[in-house]
Amino acid sequence: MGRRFLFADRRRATLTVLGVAASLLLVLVLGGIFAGAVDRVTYYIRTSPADVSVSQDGVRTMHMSASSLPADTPERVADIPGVAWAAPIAFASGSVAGPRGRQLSYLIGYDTRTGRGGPTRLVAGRTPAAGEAVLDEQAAKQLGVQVGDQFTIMGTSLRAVGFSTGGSSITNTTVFVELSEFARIHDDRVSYVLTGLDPGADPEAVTDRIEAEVGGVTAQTREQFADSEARIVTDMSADLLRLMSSIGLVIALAVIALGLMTATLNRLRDFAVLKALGARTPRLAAAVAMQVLLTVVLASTVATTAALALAWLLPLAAPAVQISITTAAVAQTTTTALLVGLIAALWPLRRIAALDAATAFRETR
Amino acid sequence: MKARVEASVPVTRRFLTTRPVRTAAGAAGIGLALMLMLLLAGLWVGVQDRVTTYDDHLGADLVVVPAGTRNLFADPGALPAPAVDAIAQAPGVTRAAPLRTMYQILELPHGKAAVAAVAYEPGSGLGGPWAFTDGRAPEAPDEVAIDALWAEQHDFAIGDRLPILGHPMRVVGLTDDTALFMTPLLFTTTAGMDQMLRATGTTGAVLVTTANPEAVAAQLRDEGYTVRTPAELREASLRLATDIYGSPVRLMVGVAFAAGTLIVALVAYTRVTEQQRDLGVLKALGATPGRLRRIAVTETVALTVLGTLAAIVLLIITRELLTWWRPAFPVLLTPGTIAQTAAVAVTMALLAAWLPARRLNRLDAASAFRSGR
Repeated sequence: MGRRFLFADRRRATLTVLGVAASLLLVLVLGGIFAGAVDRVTYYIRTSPADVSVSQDGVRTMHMSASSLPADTPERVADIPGVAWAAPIAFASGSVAGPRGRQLSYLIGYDTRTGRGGPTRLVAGRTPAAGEAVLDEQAAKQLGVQVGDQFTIMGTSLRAVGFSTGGSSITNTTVFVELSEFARIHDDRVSYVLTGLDPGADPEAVTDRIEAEVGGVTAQTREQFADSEARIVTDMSADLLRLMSSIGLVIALAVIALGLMTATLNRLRDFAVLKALGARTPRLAAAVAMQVLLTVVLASTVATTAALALAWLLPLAAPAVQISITTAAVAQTTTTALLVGLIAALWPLRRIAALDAATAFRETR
Repeated sequence: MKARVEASVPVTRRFLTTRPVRTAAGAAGIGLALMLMLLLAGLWVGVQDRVTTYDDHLGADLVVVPAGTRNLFADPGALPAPAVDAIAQAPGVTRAAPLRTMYQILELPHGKAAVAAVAYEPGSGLGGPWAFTDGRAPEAPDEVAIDALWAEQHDFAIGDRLPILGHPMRVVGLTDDTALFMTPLLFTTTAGMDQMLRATGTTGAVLVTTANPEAVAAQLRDEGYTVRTPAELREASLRLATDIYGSPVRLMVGVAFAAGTLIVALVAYTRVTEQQRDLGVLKALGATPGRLRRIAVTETVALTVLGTLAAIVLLIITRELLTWWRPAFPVLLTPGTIAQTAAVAVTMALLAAWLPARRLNRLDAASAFRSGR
């Protein structure tokens, strides 16, 4: 019955479903943009060979962060039982410029002999030597830099000798250079120490040992570091997400309420006829609830499809913006929309509950 | 003829006033969608207004920055510390003071908070906080002044300890007008920050005052320095905000526009369907299809105008709620934004009126005499 009531006027049903879908799309896309940012921001840490990362005391992140360690920290960390190797990296924020523009960038200096702390994978070229650098392929494309071209990082001209991948986000890209080159461009510093563990060593126990024995440092396992990095985005965006999601859901509520209200008012005589034939109010309420369910499920399907299409299309126009639509996000949005839909159904339900069966025999509306 | 026109029945107005609840509900729905667009536009204007706050209050005529640096916080870089004295000695320079700026993530008990940290020379009068709600500017290396709104949100008061880079800094001042979008300003001394960063041999930038900015800038550039004016830094901050937030904001506005158009279409279509019998009567009485279409379009436009008014009221309420909940979320409305939204509303109304107008083309006058809907 709910299905027949909903689709009796297909145009109206389509408009209602599309209206709700647009509202849910708003919620999904915004969440997807932040989820995409989390994915990119944590890429370097997630793909790093380090089991444990060491930073300045009180620093648990890389993105938007500054960390500075004493120069002897790598040796001191390497002496801790359970540590197989310790590699320093230097890290700073700056900008990179090419023939076609300019982007914000993190500059990472690493030991090119071991490769630890450098790009996870090179999609073109080779590791950098003095006066050379590896750029992220996406940034290189946007900046108009080819392998072998000169470009500028923090005002210093370098030659691009390779392209890495996964290092560009909505805010910045990543450039890798040799440690000595970093010192020439910026300063001589140890920002983080990446640490590999002996087989069988317990990462949590080693982090405790590093913090206790080295002092003035924060040590985190790869999972802790990545989680901490992800929380920068989630904590910063939480208020904005909550605000936009609330507005999106209020719009969805308004659309469902409008659609249901008009559909119910136009069908009041039908409901009255059913009442006169013995249908009880819970049965009629179930018909309204079914309309909500169908509207939300259909709208959610349309919104998810559109969001996935946008996630595929948008990077073609704006490569730095990545949209990540997860099953959890779709499930959460649909569930919230269902709850919102049921709230929107309260008014028609109240009207049906108070409906007089005699209405069925009246001539006018 | 004139008398006939004056005596004509105001059909659209009557349609709108016959069922005031449905009219109000329709206008509220349209209002919500337009409000979202106004809110996004207002937030965007607010973001643009806030991102340049520090550039607007530098107190310097020129800023010497590391080569390649265009934005104080996003690409700070490093200069050798002796550059401050060398620049101070340059002819025409009245004052020169070191400055270090950077984003920093603070580890707080309930989560992470990003701040735009400023380390300035307390005695210079340059680059420091410019307004306070309480307390004073930091003077000692372990002192910090924080944005008052941010302090309230995170429960910090004068005298509390705030951990920065592992150092428990003492809050001595609560600053006013320092809430940048998502990243409030935090002020400390260059001595304190240099120690925390173990970077005593470098500085971030040098603030310069002079009576003759153009000549001094040219001279410093000749000496190999990169010199920016506050206006150039401001422009770079705006461009950076547009680069980062531009695409997502445009996308969200696009989706909000689609949602709004569909809501207007739903409301307009539903009303025409409900009024089908009445419109059939009008047709039976001789109304032309053109007249019926005009009625539908006028009704849709009238509803959209009501929705626009509802949007403004809803936006004012939302803005007040936001000011109470998160005062750092800037929502600024400009005449341009309102005019733009009004134009969007008209476009939405015309697009949305197409469907019911099309339906009226096929309206049968006999529908006036049918008993059902």
